[in-house]
Amino acid sequence: MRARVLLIDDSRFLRSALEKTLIAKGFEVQVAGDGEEGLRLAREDGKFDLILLDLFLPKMTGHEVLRLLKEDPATATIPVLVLSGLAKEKERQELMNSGAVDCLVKAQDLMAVVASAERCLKLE
Amino acid sequence: MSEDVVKLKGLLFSSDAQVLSVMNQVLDNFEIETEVCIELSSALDAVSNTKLDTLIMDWTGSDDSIQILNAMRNSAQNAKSTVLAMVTGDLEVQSATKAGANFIIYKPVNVDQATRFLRASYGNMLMQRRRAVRCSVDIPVTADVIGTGPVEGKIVYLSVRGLAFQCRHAMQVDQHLAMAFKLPGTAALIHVNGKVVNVATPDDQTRAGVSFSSVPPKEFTVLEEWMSNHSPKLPSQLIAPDNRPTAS
Repeated sequence: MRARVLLIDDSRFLRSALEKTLIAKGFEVQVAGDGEEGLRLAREDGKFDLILLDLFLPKMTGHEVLRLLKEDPATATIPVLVLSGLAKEKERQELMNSGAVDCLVKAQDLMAVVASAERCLKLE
Repeated sequence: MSEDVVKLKGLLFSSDAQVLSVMNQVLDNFEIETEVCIELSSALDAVSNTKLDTLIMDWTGSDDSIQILNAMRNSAQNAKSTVLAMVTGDLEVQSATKAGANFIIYKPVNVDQATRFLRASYGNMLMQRRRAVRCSVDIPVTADVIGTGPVEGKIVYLSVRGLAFQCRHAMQVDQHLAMAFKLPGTAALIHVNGKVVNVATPDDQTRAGVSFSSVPPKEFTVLEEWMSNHSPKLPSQLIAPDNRPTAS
């Protein structure tokens, strides 16, 4: 069965690029353009194998989404890979302490994000 | 009734998240419908099979970059489309220009730079789009086909670069012809010389694609104006590029 990924990011281009590439790699992908929609999709269908979560989102920040995902037993076990515009180690540690499996710098090559997603799914 | 406005179409080839984020804002402001590719195969598919007004690409100077630009230039529908290359250094400028990029910008790009960059190239995109626009027409005409003589038929499509001539006579690629026709709804007579560039035979008829080799300058201007009034509106005809919003 194909691994299922939920991608939550407000940048349409970035969403489109990652979605297309992940689908080409054989994943099933659902996308959300803001935090509320992302949380709703994750709760309605808690069977995602991975969530790619941007931190700077409209309606609800990525930090809040991460916290609520981890508080809800239905979604708490889904690995969350955070995409951040900032690269500070302190922030990375905080996010990992909040339950993220990793925090990637969004400014880097998106193929690295795809490779990290693949790694996470293999570990799962 | 709302006017039928044609949107420009673009392909953005970049896996740089910063570039995607900046270009997302800028291309939205220019109302360019954009497909994003971060992998070679999907980019090659898009440049070969989709009509694009612009290709905006991260130019690394690698085989991937060259392959995509070559595929674009070798595609009949995109051969003259506007290519914008984003480079990191002077070496890439040389290779991108040599490969056929029309505009170059240095990375990293911010929204203001990218907006100026798009504004500078926008006119070029519109010019190419205008040249590519064709109108469905029904103009009875007699073509003087060199080596054959007069051939009666009708013009079924018209653009500023050529026309489609439909008749019941066999035509061949590379045949030269001349014809004079009146533009519908006007008294303007247009004289053209041209060459057959393709031939199809739908329903026992011959349809010859004719590329113009010469049109008298004044008549060409009349043809351009007529085409502009009889084809779907391009964005610039509603909003001049200089008046488009500047992204902040």
